[in-house]
Amino acid sequence: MKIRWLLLLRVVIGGFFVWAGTLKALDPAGFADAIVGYQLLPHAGEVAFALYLPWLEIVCGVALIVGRLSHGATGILSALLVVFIVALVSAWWRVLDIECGCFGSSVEAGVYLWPIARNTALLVGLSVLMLMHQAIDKKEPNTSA
Amino acid sequence: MHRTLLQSLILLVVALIPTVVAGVWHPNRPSWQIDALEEGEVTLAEVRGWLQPILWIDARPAEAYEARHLPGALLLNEDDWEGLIEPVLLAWQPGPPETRMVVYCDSALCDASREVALRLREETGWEEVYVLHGGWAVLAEEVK
Repeated sequence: MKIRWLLLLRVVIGGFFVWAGTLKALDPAGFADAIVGYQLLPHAGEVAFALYLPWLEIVCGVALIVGRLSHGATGILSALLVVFIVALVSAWWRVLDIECGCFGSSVEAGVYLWPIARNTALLVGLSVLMLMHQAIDKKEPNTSA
Repeated sequence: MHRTLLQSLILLVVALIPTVVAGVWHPNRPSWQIDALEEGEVTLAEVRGWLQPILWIDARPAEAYEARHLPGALLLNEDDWEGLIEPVLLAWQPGPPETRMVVYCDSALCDASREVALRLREETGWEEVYVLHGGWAVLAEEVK
C-alpha cells in the first residue's frame, strides 16, 4: 500500500517538473526575461540559470517518475523549491510587478501567493517522499533507488 | 546521505549535457550579451550625461512607487492616467532647453514604461520622451 502511494507521489511531482521544465526549455529566452525581473543575478547568471534550470527540472522529474536516482532527484528538487520560494517572497517584498517565470514566460505578472503556496505544497510532497524513502530503506537496506 | 549526494551529483552532470546543446543550438536561446537598446531607449549613463533638465516618470504601480522611487520622480501609469497626468504636465517645462522625460518601470522585462512613453508622445506631442533601459533595476542601487 505504501509503495503504491510512493509511486503515485513520485509520478505526480515528477510529472509536474517535467511539464514545467519542458515549457521553460522550449523558450529559454523568455524564461531568461522572467529571471531578469527578479533582479537577483548578474546577466551571465541569468542566462546560465535560464539554460540549465529547465533541463535540471526535466532530468530530476524523469528520475522521480522512473524511480532511478530518486533520492538525489528529491534532494535537488527540494533545494530548487526553497530557492524559488525565497525568490518569490523577495520579489513580493520588494513590490516587483513581474512574472513568476514558473512555467516559462506566459504567466500573469504580480501574482505571488499562488506560486508560493503551490511550491510549498510541492515541498511538503517531496518531504513526504523523503520520509517514505527512508522508511523503505530501513526495511530493505539493499534497495538502490 | 552519501547516496543522496552521489545521485544528486550524477543528475546535475546529466542535466549539463542538454543545457550545453541548448546553449549552442536552441533557436530561442538567450543572449550572453546585454540586450541592445530598443528605439527610444536610453541608458542611465546617457541620461547622466545630458545637460537638459530631466523629469523622471515612474510607470510602476502606485504601491511600488510609494514603497521606493527615484527622488523627484512623478508617478504616471495606465491605472489612473487622468488623475496622474496633471502633475506631470505642470512639471514639464517647454524650454529652451526643453525638459527631457525619462520613463522607467521595473526592469527590462516590463512594458509599462514603453506604453507610458508612447501615450505621452501621442497625447502631448512631446518628442523628448525616453525609456530607461533596464528600468528600476538599474536605478534601485542609487536609491539605497
